[in-house]
Amino acid sequence: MARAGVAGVALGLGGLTLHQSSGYAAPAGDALRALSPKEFAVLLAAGEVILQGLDPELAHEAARWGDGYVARQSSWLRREVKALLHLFEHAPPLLGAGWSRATRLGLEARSAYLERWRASERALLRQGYGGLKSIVFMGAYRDPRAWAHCSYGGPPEHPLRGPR
Amino acid sequence: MIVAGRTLRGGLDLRADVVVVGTGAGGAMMLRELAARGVDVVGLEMGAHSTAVDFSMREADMLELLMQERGARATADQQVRIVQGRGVGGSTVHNLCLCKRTPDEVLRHWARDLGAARLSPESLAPDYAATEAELSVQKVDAGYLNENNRLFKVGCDVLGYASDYTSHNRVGCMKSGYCIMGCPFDGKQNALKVLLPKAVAGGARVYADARVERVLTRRGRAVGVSGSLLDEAGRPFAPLRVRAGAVCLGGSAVGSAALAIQSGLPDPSGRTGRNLFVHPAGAVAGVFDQPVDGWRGVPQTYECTEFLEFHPGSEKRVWLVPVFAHPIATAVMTPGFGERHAAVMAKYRHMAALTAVVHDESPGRVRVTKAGRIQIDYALSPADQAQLTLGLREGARILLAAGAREVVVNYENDPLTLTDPGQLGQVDARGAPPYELPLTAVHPMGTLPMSDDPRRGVVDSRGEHHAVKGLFVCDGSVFPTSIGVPPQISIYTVSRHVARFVAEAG
Ligand SMILES: Cc1cc2nc3c(=O)[nH]c(=O)nc-3n(C[C@H](O)[C@H](O)[C@H](O)COP(=O)(O)OP(=O)(O)OC[C@H]3O[C@@H](n4cnc5c(N)ncnc54)[C@H](O)[C@@H]3O)c2cc1C
Repeated sequence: MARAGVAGVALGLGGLTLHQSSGYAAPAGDALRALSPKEFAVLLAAGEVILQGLDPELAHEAARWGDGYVARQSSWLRREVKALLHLFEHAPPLLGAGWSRATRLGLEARSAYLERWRASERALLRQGYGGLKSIVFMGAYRDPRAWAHCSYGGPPEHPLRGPR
Repeated sequence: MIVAGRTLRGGLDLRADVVVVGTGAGGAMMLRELAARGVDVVGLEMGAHSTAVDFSMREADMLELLMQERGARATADQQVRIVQGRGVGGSTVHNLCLCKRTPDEVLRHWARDLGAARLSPESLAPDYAATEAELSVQKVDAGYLNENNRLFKVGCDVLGYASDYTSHNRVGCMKSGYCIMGCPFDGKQNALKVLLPKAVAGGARVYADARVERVLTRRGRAVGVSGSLLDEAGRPFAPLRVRAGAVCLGGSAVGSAALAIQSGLPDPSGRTGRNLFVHPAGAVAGVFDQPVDGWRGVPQTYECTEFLEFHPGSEKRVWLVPVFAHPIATAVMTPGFGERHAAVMAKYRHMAALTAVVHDESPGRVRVTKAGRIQIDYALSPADQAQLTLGLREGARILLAAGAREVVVNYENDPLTLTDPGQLGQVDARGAPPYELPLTAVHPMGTLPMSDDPRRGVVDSRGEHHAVKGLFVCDGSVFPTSIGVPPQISIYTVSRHVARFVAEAG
């Protein structure tokens, strides 16, 4: 119900999402596997807000990992995540967060915008917030730089493989 | 040998006496039992075949490798995260090894009131004993307590709460604390390590990467299964078919119910997929002055049963047990984001945590959408919310009694921080309303319930489907109600019981 809803609402934004796909630079390094440059930029923008307080490079790392994670998911989940990213990019006006796209909001305004998703009355937005948060934290807290932040010692040496 | 289906480019077409779907607790015990009885049996598992060398102890990688939907499975409204295994050995690969029999009160209720006559405590006792012996189940002692569990015990002792050490199926445990990511030291005496090697040695043919999509029937009889072989990325690339004299479902309470639904099997009781219980659980964390390093050492070695009674209508239905998550799961479950979230995560080393697990009465439902996706509907009834609230409050009390500087209940809107037992009433005031707490469930059960009364159950107490002869179920689906304790040993045991009848039918 709700998962299908994200795709539905994003499609409802129709031309908006389709017409505004240009102007997003592809990230440097390896080619993207599932996300378009635009979707990558949105995930990165969300990550920059979600991961405030951690090493700033982690947002990029999380978006990179998120691209691979989405690529490995089933086709319907892939569609849902992509739809979510488009919705996140274009919904600021609908939530009274200004007439800008999410990727063009400053950090503080973007943070306030994400907070509206988190605290929304609408299940769809709360779930979207939860989805973004999960992907970003999975991507970030798999990295030893985030482990350092929480003083997690990391796994011991693998008995059959040795250190990695 | 366990064959990787991904290597069989030409597909798979087999005949056998019995085909078993899934290789988790239920499926693996069935394969082992049937092979020991000389039955020609094939096991089909949708996930990969991974072993100790693959268990890297890297959280994100293991979520993807070992869990259904790469760790993203949840109820349709995303309220409850449903964690289940996928792969040879099923959820026993990454479970925490706690073993606890279904309480006699629950079994008696099933046998006396719900028509599951053959599941009485007396009739199951020999099967329980045999299973526990085969899987080396032993009660742990103080030597197994890590700091997280030790603090929990201190809290229980101070309060005088009913509590005890737990029993586990581990041998040669190195106490690394990475059980939830599969054991790289091969200390778990589970389906993967114990049962499947014996099944294969006894002649069972087991295939990984083999997803069953349909139970085949002819004139009201199960005659086999069909489906697809999956490549490394989990995508179907070739067909599979196994023709057999009997079919046994061991795909878990979610997977088996979904398969029954998508196969269009008759459902005279109307209960297929409907009777889902999950043991929904919420966590409480305490911050201590000293480092706890809760990820180190054996998890869940101590339990509190002060608020757990099993008679029907009980007002104490919550089990308290220490729990600890690695950084990803902790970050995802911690409310909020940004600087405030980072500040909470900075206390990670000093946190002890426990979970309040509800012996639930709110039935949910497994469905399959038109597009073929599994959908799980589940919501806590007000009575179950009250149980969760009770558990969170008492969990907070235990952590404070153990000396926590502060205790946090993770309400999404405004997490509650308590520093004194006098504040515990605030948990009652907040309760456990929908969407306010991050909930996890790791024990789905009940979606193809057992009863000899065809109006009440999908299968009889021999495990055979009421409307499809030769179709059996041997996993957590068959429990008529929630059991209120970790289910693996009961699933292994019920599968052992059902195997006798499958052997006769195959
Ligand atoms: C994190 C975690 C910790 C746990 N800790 C404990 C514990 O300490 N003690 C305890 O008692 N229990 C614990 N459990 C629960 C316990 O492991 C499960 O209840 C038990 O393994 C379920 O057995 P099952 O046979 O019903 O299903 P599973 O063990 O889940 O096995 C089902 C298998 O069937 C496969 N399958 C599904 N559908 C298909 C299909 N269509 N075709 C082919 N294959 C299919 C799946 O991939 C899976 O491998 C834990 C679970 C989790 C997730």
